[in-house]
Order: sequence, then structure tokens, then C-alpha cells
Amino acid sequence: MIRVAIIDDEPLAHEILLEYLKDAEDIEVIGKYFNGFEGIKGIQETQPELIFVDIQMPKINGFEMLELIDNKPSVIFVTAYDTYAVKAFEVHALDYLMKPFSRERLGQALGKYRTFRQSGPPELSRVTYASAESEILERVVVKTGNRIEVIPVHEIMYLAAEDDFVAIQTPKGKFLKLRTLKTFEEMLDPKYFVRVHRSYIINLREVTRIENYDKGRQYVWLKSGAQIPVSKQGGHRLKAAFDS
Amino acid sequence: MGSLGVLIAGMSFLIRYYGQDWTTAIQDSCVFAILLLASTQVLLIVYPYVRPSFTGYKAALIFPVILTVSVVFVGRMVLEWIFGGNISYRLFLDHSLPLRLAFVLLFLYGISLLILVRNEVELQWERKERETMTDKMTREAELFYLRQQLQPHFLFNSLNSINALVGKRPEEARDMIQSLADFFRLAIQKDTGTSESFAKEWERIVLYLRMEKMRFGDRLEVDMDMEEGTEVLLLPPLLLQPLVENAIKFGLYGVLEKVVISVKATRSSNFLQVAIRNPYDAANGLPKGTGFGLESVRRRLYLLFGRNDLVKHQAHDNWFEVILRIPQLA
Repeated sequence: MIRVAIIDDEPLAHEILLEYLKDAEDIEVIGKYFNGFEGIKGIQETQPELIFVDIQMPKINGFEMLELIDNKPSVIFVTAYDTYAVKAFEVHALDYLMKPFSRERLGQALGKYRTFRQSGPPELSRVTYASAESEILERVVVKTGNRIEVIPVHEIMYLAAEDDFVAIQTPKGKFLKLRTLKTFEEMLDPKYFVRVHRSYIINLREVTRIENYDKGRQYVWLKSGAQIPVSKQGGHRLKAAFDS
Repeated sequence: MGSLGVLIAGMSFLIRYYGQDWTTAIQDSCVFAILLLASTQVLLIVYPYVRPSFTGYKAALIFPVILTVSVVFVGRMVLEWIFGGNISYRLFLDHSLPLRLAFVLLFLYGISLLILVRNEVELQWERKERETMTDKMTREAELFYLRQQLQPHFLFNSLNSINALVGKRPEEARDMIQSLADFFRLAIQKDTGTSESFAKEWERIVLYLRMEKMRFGDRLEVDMDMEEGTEVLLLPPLLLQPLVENAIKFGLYGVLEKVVISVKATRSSNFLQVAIRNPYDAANGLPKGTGFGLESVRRRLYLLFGRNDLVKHQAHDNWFEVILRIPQLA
């Protein structure tokens, strides 16, 4: 049996999927979740192998939800928007169903999964898009233990590279995210975030002063009292950002 | 300055013509010219407060008369003081009083006419400017609304819901098809006026929220209340729609729990008051896109009524409320 879960905030969207899936004898729906938070918890517990995911959902969207799931199942997106198709395939989604979809179209998607299953299911790559709405990152979702934290980017004071992780410093504390500083550098709004050092990105709105020491060493002080080293290149970037 | 010169020269010639010597003529003209100029200033200051289109032309008829009498009276006093000893001049002065009265009166009427016409033209122009802006905003709102509604996902999501209902609950499916059809019909109806009845706007909102309710089921609760008598009140077309959509967006995508959207319409003295409230999570900050809705509504009301205090919004810890007051003219 193929163990399947549905994550969608509209009950009627569940109903139509359930109705269509009833016909497939090798499918067993083991989980129905109505938002990303329920989804993360449920998927962790029941370990489905295939999930149907809506994109627009309360608080965190479908992409963000996937980002926080450890053993990722295969994913079929189900949405009324066609704008996320590219992103969906970038995260190696198996298929992308557009609401309303026909029984046949769902059948095709399932067929695809069955074939993949025989030859080993595809690995879902690490989701690098946190925001479904725009190219610029607006919030970061992190998981600490069982808690899921949604951090609006303007609350980030600075980011620091720590081994394979990036430490996100906020007034609420430090959060770790398995990602490179480079991906953050690419996704954060360059108007407000500057990479001042190989290991640091700072929020310009937090800067209180910049100090020069001997031998051209430079430090930037943040409102929180943190003192961040600035590399030579970082100094140029910082100057350019403040000048613009 | 130029006009002062022309005025003095003209009057000097006139007085010279009636037998006074040049020095006297020029001095006499100077006094009157200065007085006339001062009167013109007075008129310029006073007229903006007296719009003939509102108060009638009585004021415009009487003002110059009062001014004329004062000007001639003061002029005579000054000239008598200057030429106290010159008997022949004083005779001439008394002799010419009626003529001076007539001249000053005509002059001031002429000036009044010019000022009033200018003011009126300016006013009209301003009004027209404002009307075009209002029109533009109405069209923008219509466009925004259409774009929102015709944004395919609204339609597609609704169709997906209908698809789900058709098999098991065909009656509900019919209901939703009907709502969808009515809603789109209202959306494409050509509205030319700058205002429509509140009943119509209300109907549109009811349809919209009913469809959302069908889609989201128990998670969404709609609490609508319309005070009796408000249905005949007027408001600019599609004023509320973007705000209701915001409320849905904020509510449904901002919190996980059950969402209650409340829309309350009341009538207070000369206003239609509408309060739209939705739950939200302050920690999320204001979602993108809400600014446009709220700002455009504020702007439209400003253009129509020239007031900035008609839209109020309050963000509390877990709910957000927009209160609109729409003045009822006439």
C-alpha cells in the first residue's frame, strides 16, 4: 500500500482528493492536515511516503512546511496558482496539480509515483525557497525541538556561520538553520542586509556605530551590543550600502 | 505699478481738462489712485470668503458701493487738507464729487467682476481636477476588484470546491454555482456613477463571503450585521470590497485558529459607518498588499469629501479593525 497524507486548508479540497483516491486500491490515506504546523507534526509521526500539499496555507506555506520536514516524502503540489510551478520543480516535486483537476490527471500523477517507486523514489532536494510569494526572503521558518518559529526577516539582528549551520540572531534568541550563509546572502534584501565578513551578515537597521582599529581592522556595533568584525571587502560593501 | 501710473496719468489729464493746473491735477490723481488701489486690495482679500455661487451676488453689489463712498469721502478730506487755501480748487472738488463717485463706483465694479470671475474659474478648475481624480480612483478600484476576482485562482478554487460538492452534496454545489454566477455578474456590471446604494455593495460582500465560507467550512465564521435604514445610504462603488478581501487574507492566512470576520454597518447622524474586523497575529506584522487596499480607500474618500479622518484602523494584539465613515450628502 502507498501511504498518503493530504495537507490543505480547505476541507472541500480534501474531499475531492479523497473521493478520487478511493478508486485507487493501492492507496491508503493515513493523514489529513489543515495547515503546515499540523502537517509537520503529522508527517513526522505517521511517515507517509507521498503527500499532497497546497501552497497557500495559514502562517507558513507549503514550501516552508517542506523545509522543516526531516525525512521528506515524495511531494505532489495541489494548488490553484500556476505561478509556483517552477519553484515546485526546483524542489523536485513529483508533480504539480492545478485545481480543479480531473480524476485522470490525478491518475497520471499517481502513475508517475508508482513508476518512481519501483525504481526508487526521488530524493526531495533541500528546499531553498522560503518564500512562495517573492524572490526576496520575507520570513524564515526554523524548528527548535518541537517548536516551529516563524521569524520575520526584519527581526533578524545578524546571521553568523557556524559549521554547517547558520545562526540567526533575533531578540527572541538564537536559531540554527541548516543552510549556507551564501544562500541567505542571495535571498535577503540587499537594501537591509550586508555580508560584512566571511562569517557574518548584518541587518543595517541594527547598526549603531562603526569603529576603526589599527592595521585597518574594523568592527561594527549593533543595538544589541554585539560587536561584529568587518573584513576589508565587507567594509567596502558596508560603505556602498550606507551610501546608497 | 504700471497700472498705478496709467491710472494717475489718465486722471491727471481729466482733471487738467477741467481747468486745474498740472501740479494740482497730479496730486489729486495720486490721492485717488492710491485709494483705488487700496480698495482693490480690500476686494481681493474679501471676495474669496464671499463666493457669489453660494451667497448670491448681493454682497458683490453692495461692497463696491460702501467702498466707493468711503474712498470719495476720505479722498475729499485729504484733498481739502492739502489744498485748504485754494478756493477755486475746493469749488472744483465739490463740483466734481458726483462724477468722482460715479467713476470710483464703476472702477470698483469692474475690478469686482474681474476678481469674481477669476475666483469662479479657479474654483471650477479645482472642482474639475478633483472630479477627474475621483473618477480615476473609482476606475482603479474597479480594475483592482476585477483583477482580484478574475485572478484565476479565485475562480479555480471555487470550481474545485464545486467539483468536490457535485458528487455528494449537489444542492450545495448548485448554491455555490449560483453565488459564483451572481458574483461575477455584479463584478462585470458597468457602474458609471460615483456612488451606489449600500444595499448593492452589501449584496456583493454577502456573496463573496458566502463563497469563502463554503470553501473554508467551519474554520471561517462570518458575522454580518446591517442596521435597518442603511441600505438606502450611498457610497462610492466597490469601496468596501478590497477591505473585506484584506480581512479574509489577514484572517485566514495569518492565524491557525478559527477565524471570525465581522462586518457591521450602522447609521450615525449624517454618516454611514462600516466596521470590518478580523483576527490577526501581531507577530506577523502587517501582511503585504494590505497597504494598497487601505490606502486607496483612504485616498478615494479624501478626494470625494476632502477629509482625512474618514478611515480609521486599529491593530490590536489579536484583531485588526478598519472603521469607515462615509458622509451622506444632501
